[in-house]
Amino acid sequence: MAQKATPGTSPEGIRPTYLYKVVLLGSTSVGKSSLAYRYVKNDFKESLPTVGCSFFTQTLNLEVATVKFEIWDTAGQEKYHSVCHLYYRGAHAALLVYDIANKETLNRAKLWLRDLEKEFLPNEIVIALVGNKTDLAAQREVTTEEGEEFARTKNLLFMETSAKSNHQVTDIFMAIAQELLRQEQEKASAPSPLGKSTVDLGESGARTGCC
Amino acid sequence: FSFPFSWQSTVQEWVEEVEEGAVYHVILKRVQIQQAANKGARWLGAEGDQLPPEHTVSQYETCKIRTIKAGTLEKLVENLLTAFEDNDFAYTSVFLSTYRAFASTKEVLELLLDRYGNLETYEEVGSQNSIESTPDLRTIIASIIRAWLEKCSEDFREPPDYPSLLKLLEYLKRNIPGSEPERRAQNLLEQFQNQEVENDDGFHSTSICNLYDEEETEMNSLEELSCFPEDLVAEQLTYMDAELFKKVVPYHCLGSIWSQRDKKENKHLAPTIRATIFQFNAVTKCVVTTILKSKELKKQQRAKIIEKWIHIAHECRILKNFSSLRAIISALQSNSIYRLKKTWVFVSKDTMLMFEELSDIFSDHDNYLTSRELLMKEGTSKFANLDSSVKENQKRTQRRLQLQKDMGVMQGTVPYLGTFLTDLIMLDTALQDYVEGGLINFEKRRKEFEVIAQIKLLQSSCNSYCMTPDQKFIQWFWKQQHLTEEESFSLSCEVEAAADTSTTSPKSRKSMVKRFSLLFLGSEMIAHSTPIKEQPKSTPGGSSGESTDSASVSSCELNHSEAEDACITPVDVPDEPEKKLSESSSSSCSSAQSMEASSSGVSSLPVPFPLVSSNEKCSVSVTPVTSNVLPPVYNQQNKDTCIIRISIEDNNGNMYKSILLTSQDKTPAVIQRAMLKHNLESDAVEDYELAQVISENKELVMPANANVFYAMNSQANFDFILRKKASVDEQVEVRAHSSPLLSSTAKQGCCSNGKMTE
Repeated sequence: MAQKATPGTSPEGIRPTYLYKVVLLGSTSVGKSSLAYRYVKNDFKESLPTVGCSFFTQTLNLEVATVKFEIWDTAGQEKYHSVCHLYYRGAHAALLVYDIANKETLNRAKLWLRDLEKEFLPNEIVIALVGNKTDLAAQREVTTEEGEEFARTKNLLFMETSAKSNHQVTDIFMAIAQELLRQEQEKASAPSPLGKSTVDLGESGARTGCC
Repeated sequence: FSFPFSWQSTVQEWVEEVEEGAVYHVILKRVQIQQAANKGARWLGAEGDQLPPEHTVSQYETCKIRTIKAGTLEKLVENLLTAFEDNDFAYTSVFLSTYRAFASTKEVLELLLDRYGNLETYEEVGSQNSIESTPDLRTIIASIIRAWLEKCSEDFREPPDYPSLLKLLEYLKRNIPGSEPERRAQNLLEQFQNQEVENDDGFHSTSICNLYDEEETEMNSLEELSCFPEDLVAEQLTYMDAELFKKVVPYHCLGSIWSQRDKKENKHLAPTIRATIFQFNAVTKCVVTTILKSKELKKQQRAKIIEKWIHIAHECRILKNFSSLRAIISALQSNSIYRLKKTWVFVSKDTMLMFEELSDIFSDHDNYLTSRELLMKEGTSKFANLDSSVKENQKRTQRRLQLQKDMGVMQGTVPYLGTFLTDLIMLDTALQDYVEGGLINFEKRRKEFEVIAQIKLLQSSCNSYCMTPDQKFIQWFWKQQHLTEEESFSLSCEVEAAADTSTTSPKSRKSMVKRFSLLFLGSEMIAHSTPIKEQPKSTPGGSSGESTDSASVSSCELNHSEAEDACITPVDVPDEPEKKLSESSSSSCSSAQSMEASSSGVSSLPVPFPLVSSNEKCSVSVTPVTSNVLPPVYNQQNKDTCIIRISIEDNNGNMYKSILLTSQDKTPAVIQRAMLKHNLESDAVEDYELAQVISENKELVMPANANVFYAMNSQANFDFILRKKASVDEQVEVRAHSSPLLSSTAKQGCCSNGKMTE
């Protein structure tokens, strides 16, 4: 109730606004920054800070709420271990990105997941596994099923994307937004925060077996 | 995009000029035309109007500036020869620093020397302009080559045959015999060959590693760390960092190159950058290892080691070594160390505040604004320019800085390179390599050069460090066992068993009291100190460039920082010197009342945010009490988090927003989040204050830089009010008698905390 009573800045009336920190994790050159850039491209000039560019913001005006994403990308800093670990602290959602044309990057994504599991409780963070570079279908090393299966066992959102050809990029961020909002509602309606059940992602409708 | 090297004068007109294989941008503008005392400086430096005044005679004039936006490789090389006439003074620097992204040294050299540098045909090249204004082609070629050899000598390191360098030498001997570039090229060749003979790959990390001598006596790392004075450790780390940073080949940092490093065939790509990262990670691991290695240490002893590292970090700050500073800070913030709550209790409050101040430098707030600003401010200044809110730390800092000044030793600056790497990858992602017609997008390279130039500037500043290696320390450093993430975490859990760290333990509650009083004291001191941002700007005179070239680069850097300051200042969140603590008292708040409020709060709780990380999930799963960690709730502080409700003053008081508060959150961040939730983003954070509503007529105003989690009264309802600050006059008066009350309030709140947790 309380968090919904936002004084309406939107013309439609009263809608809550949520701000989420989203981090992109994954090996070098899996296309993390391309994904982020592709997603915010239209607003790129506005969102690019005057000094450097470590994060982008993107606002989604959904029917039920306004979602503001702060999208963090440490591309280029993967090898500074301690720094990378600190930067996902406080994140609400994480995109674990791998390259479908490079099996090793999926293994690395699994390691990132382990790190996240150490840091977060299952319901604390929305995690999406993203197989990027579907434009490189000819060099595919990871099947869609493999990614999907792994995501299912770990209760992750899953999608294959191509930042290059703009395939499903918006969709994955939208799926994350919906999942985050769904969790908000669940929390709001839960009689006690302790009695919360685990999130069943299978029913969220956000998962898509694509391609 | 807003980029630093903007033209300061008014642009009057611009057009795009398209010719076969190239697109130019032509602008007419009023500029200060300068007759450079040294022509080479104009060639090598950036824009002519940014040369130091003593080098120039200036007058205002309308001039035409023609810059190439995109072109074929041929056109881009050709443009090297004409850029000077076109008043595009930065072109040579930009091209040489970035061409590796689209061409090889061999290709460029062939075009430059064989096609355009062919001295017999040069009349043709210069034919567009009148002959007297056209500089001699020989001179132009000579300055390009000199710049190349001087600034990008690594391009020619092609063992064992050095084909490019030999080709260049041959050209110079034939066309410009006895010239300075020829001598330079000859020296470079000899230098490379000698290094090859020594089988030295030229990167310092290996030579440092080589110092490691198996036969050294077995050393206990803990004893040894305590043997090395803090300033020595910082100095030695800085020595190592600076040596490695100076060797960084700037073009390796380009997004298109650095992002390829993990490809199988690129194992050895960008070794100079890898070396700096290797060092960074080694420092981090050294910190973690020294703290965790001996399990039998008492908490006090372990806390002493933590304190020592904080002091070392502070010394690094004074030495302007942001690389090791960040490495140490992130090590201390890593899970394995940060979770040792009972150990941290024994860290003295001054040191704790020092740690917080140093951590703030790397806060990700506003796109790492703080660290970026600092880097720009201090990049070329002689000394660090820092201020601490803690008197003791302040004295210490002043002593150190005075010592530096007395000794007349200038300090360089070692940056944390990672921020640059990310910026360059972002640029590479965002900007196309080629534009329509397959032309190389040179605008992209200009933007990349802005970052590269900063790196180069800082590299040249590193020459001002004057340090000598201390073999004993360096040996010790490389002997440190490097624990993996898992190893350190399990060690950490052995040191402080996981379950112990939960809030329910009485000891940790004690820690909270201590932390609180510490925070409270700290915020008092903050109130009297001057915020860093209001320090006078560092003087531009500090540029340490020796050659005309680096001097000109640094001068444009300074313009950059000024321009930046101008646009950044308004969004700044400065510490408020006129901090106030308003009327506060909580002794009247009955615990029964708050208990009631707390329980009702839990049941009706709408949680606005998904839960933010609790650092010790591991610890939680071990706790037998519940199978799940307590999520943050309203009116109850669970370990590191709780939910607070914030309403705005003029809002009838019944409309509030719930905000997740972690033990890391400081007042400005909380205010900012609250403003966001209340749709007040357009206002300035510093105009607002946050107060906890203790009872109908009592409230507790959060000091402007306090840690809200500890500063709040956990006994009262977690209800806060956000409002515009009152005028300064009123505040001062209030502060005068409010402090003792706050102190007792807070302590009480913390001590009785136990009743509230289950």
